[in-house]
Amino acid sequence: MSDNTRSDLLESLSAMADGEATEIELRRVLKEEEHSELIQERWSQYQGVGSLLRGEPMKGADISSAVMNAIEAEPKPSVGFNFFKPFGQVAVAASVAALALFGVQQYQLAQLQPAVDSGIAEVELQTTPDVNEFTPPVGFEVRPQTSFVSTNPEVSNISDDVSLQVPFDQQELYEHVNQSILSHSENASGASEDLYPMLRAPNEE
Amino acid sequence: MWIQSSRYFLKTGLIGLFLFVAVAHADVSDGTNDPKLLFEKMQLAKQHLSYRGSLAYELGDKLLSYFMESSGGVGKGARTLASLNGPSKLYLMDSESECSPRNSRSVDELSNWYNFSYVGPTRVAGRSGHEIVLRPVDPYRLSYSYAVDQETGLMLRSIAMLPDRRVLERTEFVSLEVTTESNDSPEPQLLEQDGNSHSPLEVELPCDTGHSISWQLNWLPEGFELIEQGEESGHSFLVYSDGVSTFSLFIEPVSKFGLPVGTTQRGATTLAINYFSLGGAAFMTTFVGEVPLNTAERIVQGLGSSL
Repeated sequence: MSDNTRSDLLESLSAMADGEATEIELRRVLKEEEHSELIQERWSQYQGVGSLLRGEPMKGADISSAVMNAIEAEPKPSVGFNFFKPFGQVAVAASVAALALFGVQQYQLAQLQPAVDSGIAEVELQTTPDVNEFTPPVGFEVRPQTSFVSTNPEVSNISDDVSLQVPFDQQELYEHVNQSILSHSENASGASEDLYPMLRAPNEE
Repeated sequence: MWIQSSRYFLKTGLIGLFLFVAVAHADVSDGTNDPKLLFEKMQLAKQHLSYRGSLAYELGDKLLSYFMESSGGVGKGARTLASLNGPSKLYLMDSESECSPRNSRSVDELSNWYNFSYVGPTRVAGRSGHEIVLRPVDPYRLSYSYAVDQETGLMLRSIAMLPDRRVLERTEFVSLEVTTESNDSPEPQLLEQDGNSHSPLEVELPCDTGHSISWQLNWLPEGFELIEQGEESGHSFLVYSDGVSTFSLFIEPVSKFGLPVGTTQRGATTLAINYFSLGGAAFMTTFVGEVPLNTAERIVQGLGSSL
């Protein structure tokens, strides 16, 4: 594999890590993965981390089927509200390509993320992997400021409260979302190059 | 005969080439295809011109239409927005304050986070314009396409896209009238034609209202700066912008976890809710902004405080 190909490939992996990979990039990975021990090795590591995050047994390294499944499951362009989803389960192929720095950095919070199902948020208690064992993709810079965990010891994510079994009111959520978007639209007026931020204020039937 | 045809095509080709070079040269010489100059022109026009017209706002399978009017002038502008379909809504914004515009960034600064490119001529609302595209240099922000009015520099169309060019939302003038002075009120019949009475929503552009807690983010995409913060109705708010995109964070103390942790999207707008504790107290964070989902999640999960 040439340096350019390797670089392109790793860029595609980085894009997948951010959930921003185009179909071309996904196919590039698919095309190369059979010939690349590097990809297989990295994929195995990422799969392992992903499995740990989900509290599942370790899985093999079949990137092809995983990525193809992700493409199949790729959501269509947004239509109105995509009402409420847990963190980290929306982006294209990012769910598969737990690849990643992003996934790993997120693990400390992922263990705290409740899954939303039929209006009930549940806490998934999982084993915390040792993040230091993880090697990010080559060329994927670990920026010092990209810490998700508060540097203030007083601050902690409240979601680690096991009692977080939240039967929430859909109407209350809807109103909160609308009010927040309205307030943001006001904030954005005059603060950006948007044509007219107030257009984004909810205008539902 | 064959030679004659060849000469004809050769001449035609040369004339075409000559015209193309002449037009291209003319464009370069007056800067009309320089995306950065067009963007600067657009920034100035937004601040100084007065205009009114009808807008179409498309997101997903929805198409909303509005009448809008803007009287220009830095620090003294006023804007009106009235919905023309669906529920009757009227927004009045008076920027007669020192708060706006609050985050006008130079093109040179923006070039650190966006690549500017010229797409070509376009036509919107019956007016000739130029299309430019801003593509982010990192995955933490959206791409934008703008149609800039050739005559005035006004933004005729704005499209927000994901990096793979999937369109999230589109705003476009359907009709536009540029006026020199615009102190007129919006046409009443536009606002009352549905026969329903409604009170206009006075939108106050937020100023720094003072704050007792200095919230801090542990991670922020490069280029985004805090442009506003304060407290209102029992919650703190922070507003960040990179000069093109904006996001807001609303932080409020809670006694119960009434809403779920999660995200939702509407057009280009991403919303995320999370909780954290500080000094034994629980807080709910609501993120709203025009950034990719991953960016929103990373920001909202990294909120801390320097209290």
